[in-house]
Amino acid sequence: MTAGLRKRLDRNGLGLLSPPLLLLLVIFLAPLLAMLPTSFQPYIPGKGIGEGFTLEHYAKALTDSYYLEIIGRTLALGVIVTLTCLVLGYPLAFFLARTESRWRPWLMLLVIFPLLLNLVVRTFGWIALLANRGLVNDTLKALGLIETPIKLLFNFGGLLIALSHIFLPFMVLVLVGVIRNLPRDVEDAARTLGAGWAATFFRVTLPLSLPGILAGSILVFVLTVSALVTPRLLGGPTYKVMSTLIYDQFLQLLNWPAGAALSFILTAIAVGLISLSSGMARRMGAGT
Amino acid sequence: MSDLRLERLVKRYGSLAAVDGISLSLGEGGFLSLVGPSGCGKTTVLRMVAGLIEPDGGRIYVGGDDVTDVPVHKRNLGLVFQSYALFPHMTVAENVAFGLHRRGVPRADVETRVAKALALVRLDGLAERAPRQLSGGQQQRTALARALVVEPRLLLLDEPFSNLDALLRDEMRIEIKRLQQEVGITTLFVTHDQGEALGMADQVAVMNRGRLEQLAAPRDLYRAPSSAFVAHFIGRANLLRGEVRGRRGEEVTVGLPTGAAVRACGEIGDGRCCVVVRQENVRLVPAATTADNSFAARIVVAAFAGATAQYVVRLDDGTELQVQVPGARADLGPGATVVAEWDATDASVVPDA
Repeated sequence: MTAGLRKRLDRNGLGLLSPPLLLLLVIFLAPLLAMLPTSFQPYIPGKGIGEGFTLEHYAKALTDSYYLEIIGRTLALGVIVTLTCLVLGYPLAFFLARTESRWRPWLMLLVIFPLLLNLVVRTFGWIALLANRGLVNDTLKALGLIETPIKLLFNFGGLLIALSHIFLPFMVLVLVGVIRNLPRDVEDAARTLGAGWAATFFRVTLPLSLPGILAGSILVFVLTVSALVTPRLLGGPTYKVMSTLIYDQFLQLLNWPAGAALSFILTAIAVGLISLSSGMARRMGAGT
Repeated sequence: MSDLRLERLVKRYGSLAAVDGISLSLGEGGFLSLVGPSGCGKTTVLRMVAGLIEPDGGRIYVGGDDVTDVPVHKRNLGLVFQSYALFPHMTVAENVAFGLHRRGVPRADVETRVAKALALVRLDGLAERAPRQLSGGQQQRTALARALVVEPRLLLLDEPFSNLDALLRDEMRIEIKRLQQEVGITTLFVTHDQGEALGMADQVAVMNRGRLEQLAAPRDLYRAPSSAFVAHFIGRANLLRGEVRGRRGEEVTVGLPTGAAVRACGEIGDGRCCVVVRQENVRLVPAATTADNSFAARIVVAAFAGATAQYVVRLDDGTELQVQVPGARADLGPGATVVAEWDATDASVVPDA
């Protein structure tokens, strides 16, 4: 393709896209950008947003050890929940994509089923399971495996378990679609060329499902770091993540500037991590 | 290089036998086409030889070794897929090197062997391209290089030309034939195209409904089909069903249901039979001559196709015949009355199936 033709096509493509693009910009970007000036305004306790320009909210969030701990915790939670969903979800998705069982539609429904339940109900379900006198601890105690209950609520472990459960279906759904579309001939070709199942999986199947792994991981990561209800209920008032912190800043303290600054920091970190992982995946050969 | 032998190979899907007792053997360096209509089980046979499908019965021998229970990745066969099945996340060179790496070939040797294989299929210079940057023919060559570079015991080709356009297909046919002769590798070639089957191979096996109809050299298959199915599938011959009336030496007289009698050659028992008349053996002449078979006819359809012309003629008794004549002599139009003639030695008789 000549450079001139490519340029023209690009322009035409953009021209065709522009009406919906404009709509998306107005709907998604405009409210976000409206908060940007707020994040640079001072906050006067008892009065609200003051006049002037300040970087204090950003500076505080990025230097104060209290905030840094919450940012670190949120990112760690995002990464670990994503990895958990990937490790648990890939084999499940692989099975669902490849099974010829006539129960396949029902098994798919089973994966989606949790999504049909209200999030609050599911979260309370986890409280009932994970509490000190909950089902998990009672069972372990009855079996004589532990003396004192393991603390599973209001800490990292509890959030990890509950969020992984809640976001697993998203990972599985994305992966099933991608794995189902992998050409079987290509795997057969690898086998005829002397690759056993492990070599076929790691050299062919897994690299070819990388786009799906990436898409599912980004989805779960973004959902995890922005989740509010589950961390709120399972973390309690003291064990905070970014989203609950932002929520408190906005609605409890009415400190909109600090809340806005924290939101932008979260967004920036998420976008940075996503573009980093996309770049990595492309180098690993997912750009097909 | 080694020969291939199949013994009563069977594959069932439920109550249906997709492959129903196929036995055949192929000599060292031989080129065998497996041809038949879609659903006849030819691809299933190929995939069983490759090890991708497990047979329900029978044995597969490669070079005298029973490989029936050997897993795919240990059979050392080269398979070229209809879809090419190149690894989209690897370059051409990486695709070709894949099988060598799996065999633990030292890195330095891999490079020289990949270069040699790419030169063999005339793809040198494209080694660093991604498969999606290649044309269909180039992808096909890559797949071929990838299959051949590991020096397999057998080359299996699964409808390798069906995704190529007509011109490229002719080119690749000759290319593969040339390569096969150069490398001297025993080859099993699956196709639904009878022209391809005859043109490529030195042995042609015609399959129908999971069974082997006939296995013969292309010329013999065309000249002496063993069944009405083979006669029709290979070259779309005219089939005239009737009953044996009499014999004189090699010659058989067959009575058609319409009352007419046809003279043909061949060995056959009494009873129902089928006369096979090749399209190009029928002559369309203005007036009856002394030919063995001579029928008044009228042209129904005339189609000019360059080197040849295709006619459909209707005999007085209502029978329709396909006739092919050299294009240079195709000056008849629909409705013209002619005489359709052919010699008894140009027609054969087969059992009516």
